[in-house]
Amino acid sequence: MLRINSLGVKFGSATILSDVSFQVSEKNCVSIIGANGAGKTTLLKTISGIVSNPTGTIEFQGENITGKRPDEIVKRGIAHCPEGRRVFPAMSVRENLELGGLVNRAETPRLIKEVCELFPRLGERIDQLAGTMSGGEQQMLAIARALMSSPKIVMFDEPSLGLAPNIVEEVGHIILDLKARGNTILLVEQNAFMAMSISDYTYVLENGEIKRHGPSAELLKDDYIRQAYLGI
Amino acid sequence: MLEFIQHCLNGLIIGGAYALIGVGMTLVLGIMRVINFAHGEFYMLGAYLCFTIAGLMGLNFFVGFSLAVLGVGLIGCLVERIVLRPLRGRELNTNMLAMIGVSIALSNIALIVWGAVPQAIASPFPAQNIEIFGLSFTPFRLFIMAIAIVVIVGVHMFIKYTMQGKCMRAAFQDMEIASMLGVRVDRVYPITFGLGAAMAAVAGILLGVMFSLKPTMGEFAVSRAFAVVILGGMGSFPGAILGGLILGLSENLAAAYISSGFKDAIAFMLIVAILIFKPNGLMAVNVNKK
Repeated sequence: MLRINSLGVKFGSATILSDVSFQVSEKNCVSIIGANGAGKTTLLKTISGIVSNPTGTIEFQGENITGKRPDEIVKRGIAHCPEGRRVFPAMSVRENLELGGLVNRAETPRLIKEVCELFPRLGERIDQLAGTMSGGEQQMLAIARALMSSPKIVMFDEPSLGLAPNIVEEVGHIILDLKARGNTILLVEQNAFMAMSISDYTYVLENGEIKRHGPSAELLKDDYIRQAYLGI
Repeated sequence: MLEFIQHCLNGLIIGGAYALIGVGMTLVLGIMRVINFAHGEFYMLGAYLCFTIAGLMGLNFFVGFSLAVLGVGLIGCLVERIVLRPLRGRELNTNMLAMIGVSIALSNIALIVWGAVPQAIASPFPAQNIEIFGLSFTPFRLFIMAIAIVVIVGVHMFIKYTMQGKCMRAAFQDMEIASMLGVRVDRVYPITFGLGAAMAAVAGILLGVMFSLKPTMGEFAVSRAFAVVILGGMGSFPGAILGGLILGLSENLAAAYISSGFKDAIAFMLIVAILIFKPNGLMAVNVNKK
């Protein structure tokens, strides 16, 4: 469904990503794990069209979408739930959701109802300013906002970042839930254990290159991964 | 007593036009974080375009009014596209200097096109005063009041309730995320800047009819704009409205009861006095709030 072919990104003379290739099949959950600065966020931003002029190609459902504008990419069904939640703090929950549904506005009222069923807390706080909510609630809003574009694939950038352990678990359940509903997921995480426990397949990104990959269940047993990423 | 009320109302009407200038400035400052030194020149261009269409070409005043506001809005979009876009992401100082340059350029272009001789726009209404409860107004002053209210309320509703307005606010809170969600940031910027410029143009036409047109009239407007925005609190819409009304009111009362020669000095002294007690302005919002 999503196929990345030898993607490279440079900021000035610094190489952020080099020769990154991977693919995500339909209805799968694929995770990419890596340390701080490995290039995970840049990778997702490049797919979203925010980082421009990459080398290599990004294919989505057989179409080459490299170099397309961000609005064209989200319209094709790729949603991005950004690192650090990044909800619009001075806007209400409803306005945040409306902006998430910008690319298919006709569906917005129905989808708001739908995500509020999925996240009842958001329904209760629909007219509250997003900046006044707790970190966990903001993460739910960020996820709901990404779902508002009725995406075919949702990309999560560190959804566990800065959240209490019980909320991290909740986020994990939500992602599994989305997968069960037929969504395709690309999950980027520093929390390797969480990512590998919920994904089908895992790629390991180190210094801008894919170092290892395999089914998550196998990588969880891999000695190198256990030492470097799980600390056991 | 009646005389006092009359002076107050006259002051509030001029204040309404000042509020228009201030809200236009606040829009660009609060949303785009650009300090628009050329705001006064958009005010001036509004007045001169209306003068050209209604006065020189002889078309109806209201046609001139609408076309001039639209024209200045488009000029604002162009200035954003040509001057501000290449500087996006640079420091505030760079933008500020660029806007000072635009201001000088526009006022000199006006000097070349329309000359230094003051011009006037004829009021479309009869000169006869309208009496209400013993108070008298020229019809044009009532027109100023009505337009100021309609434009300010309209812009507020546009920003608060339309999708375009929401996209504007989103883009300026977090440009990257907004564009990730599909907001066309490259369109939002010129629209915002053009809207601010168009509001200045409305005020320029309204006050241009009351006073006179000079290529340097922008200085008058930009000094008012800064006073209004700082008095109200940077980035605050209600603050800009309140600031405009206070400035108009104090100028008019100073002219009526103290000395018309010193009315500007008195009004600005009052602003300084208010700022001593409320240094962030009357309705301050934190412009840098994320």
